[in-house]
Amino acid sequence: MSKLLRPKPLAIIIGFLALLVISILFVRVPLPTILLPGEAIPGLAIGNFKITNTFIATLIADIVVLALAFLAVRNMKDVPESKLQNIFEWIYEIFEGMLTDIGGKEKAKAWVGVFLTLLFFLLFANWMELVPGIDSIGYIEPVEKAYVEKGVTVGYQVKHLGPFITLTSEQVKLSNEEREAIKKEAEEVEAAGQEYHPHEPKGYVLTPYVRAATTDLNLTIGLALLVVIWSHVIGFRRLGGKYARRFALPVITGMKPIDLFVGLLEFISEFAKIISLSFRLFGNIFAGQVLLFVMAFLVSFLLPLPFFGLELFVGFMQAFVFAILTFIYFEQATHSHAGDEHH
Amino acid sequence: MIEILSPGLAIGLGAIGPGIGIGLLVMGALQAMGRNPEVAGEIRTNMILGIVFAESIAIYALVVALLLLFVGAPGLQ
Amino acid sequence: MAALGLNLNYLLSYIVNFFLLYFLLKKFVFPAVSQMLEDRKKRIAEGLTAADAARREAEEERKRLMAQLEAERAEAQQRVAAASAQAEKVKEDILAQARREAEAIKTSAVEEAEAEKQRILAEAHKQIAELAMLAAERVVRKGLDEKTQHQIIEDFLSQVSLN
Repeated sequence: MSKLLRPKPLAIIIGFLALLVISILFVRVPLPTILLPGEAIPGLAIGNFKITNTFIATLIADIVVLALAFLAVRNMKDVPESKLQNIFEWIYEIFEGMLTDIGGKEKAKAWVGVFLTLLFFLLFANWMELVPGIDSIGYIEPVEKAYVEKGVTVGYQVKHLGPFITLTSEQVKLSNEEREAIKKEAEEVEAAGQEYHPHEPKGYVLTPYVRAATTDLNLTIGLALLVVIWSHVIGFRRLGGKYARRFALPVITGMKPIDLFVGLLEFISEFAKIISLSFRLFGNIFAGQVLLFVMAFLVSFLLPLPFFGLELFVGFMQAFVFAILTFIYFEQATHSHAGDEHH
Repeated sequence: MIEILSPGLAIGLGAIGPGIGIGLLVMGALQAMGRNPEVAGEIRTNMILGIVFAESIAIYALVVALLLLFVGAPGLQ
Repeated sequence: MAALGLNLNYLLSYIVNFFLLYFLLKKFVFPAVSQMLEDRKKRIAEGLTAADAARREAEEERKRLMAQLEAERAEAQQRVAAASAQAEKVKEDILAQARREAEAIKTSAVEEAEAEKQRILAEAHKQIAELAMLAAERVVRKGLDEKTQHQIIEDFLSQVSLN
């Protein structure tokens, strides 16, 4: 206790407390609008394909991964001069060794590329939720418009800071009557063939330009579908017709009813794989993002700090789990069905 | 009323199982580490992996809760 | 599904995006890294073998030199032994000669002493005889006949020679 009473620690503690008080009393941040789908950015579209903020994040993650990877292998030396090359080789060796432990040398060599691509891509996609500016820089639109398009009911008042507009923490909620009125007005305007613009917006909502890519279900389900289908392709390639037997697909004569049941279970487990892979990744990152939002909403300074550390860990862990499960699925697909050896 | 209650129930009930599961997992891992500390590192890695898997079940519940809270269940609004 | 934001276009675009990323990395990055690691492993193995060979060679060279050194040392030892044997022999010779010479000197000295002794004895004999004659003269002068006188001298002389 006496240690805490020395001037330096005391000053730090008082500073922290002051920061907490200031953040609670004066610096309040709005709770960002929490939406599941990636939000399309107006004016950014390729033909019919509207580019969403999660898609932009995906592209950023791609660019970061590619840039780091190409920088690492650009003019490689036998005795590494760049730290990046060193780190890259280290990572490659560690994970190749890990995969060798799981599936043997040949399989590790074949699929370490998929593993590392998934790991790097998901790692940067996940960690993007931690980068300042992402989720907080975007365009502002009236809450009425957002209600018509996305069903958002809570907006915020805005403040002009020079050329910039910022949301304040003053909440504006649309009451049930207002919602009805807005809906009616929007329908009338659209029936006349025009775009709906509220005359006097009560509040505004912010749609970020960039949102962590793995908070979009399309990405996680897409990747899960991809790797599960890929594992079946690998299974067919390596085992041929034997692989189909595991699902009791061609009902061969002499097959017992239990085999059909096992095949059915295998079918179901394939869907369970897709669901669990995609929702594990999505859920962790989405929930982590909401957690960070809510913590910053409660106390804007200090309180979110430990959660950033937690999310750093979770982001890595989920990327790793997704990649290692992919490898395990690939590896399992190359085993013939347990019953085959006994027949 | 049910709009407020349902997310709470979703995450509250959904967290029971994973909570018990993680407890059992860590118990087993710690006992194993106590019995043979020379493989403690390996056990710890696998324990963390297991925790992540158990935790993701709670995360599914959390996702459902968040969906109910922010997006709303069809037919409730 | 729409509430979850699921949309087939986006889903496919993400899959294509991932495939592109995988293709680029697989084509340009991973082979380079794995090649580099393999090359380095090979080179390290080669280096180790070379070092092993060099060490073995050095060991052989050392053994050879040691053997040579050993041979030279033995030779030197032999030479020293020979020299010391010769020296011993010379010493023996010198000692023998010295002993012989000493013996000769001693013998000659003894002979000389004997001759001296004989000479002195003869001298002494003569002198004693003279003294005895002198003494006898004195006695005779007091009154002894020729015969007795002679007898006495004879006795005396035999006694002296006996001594």
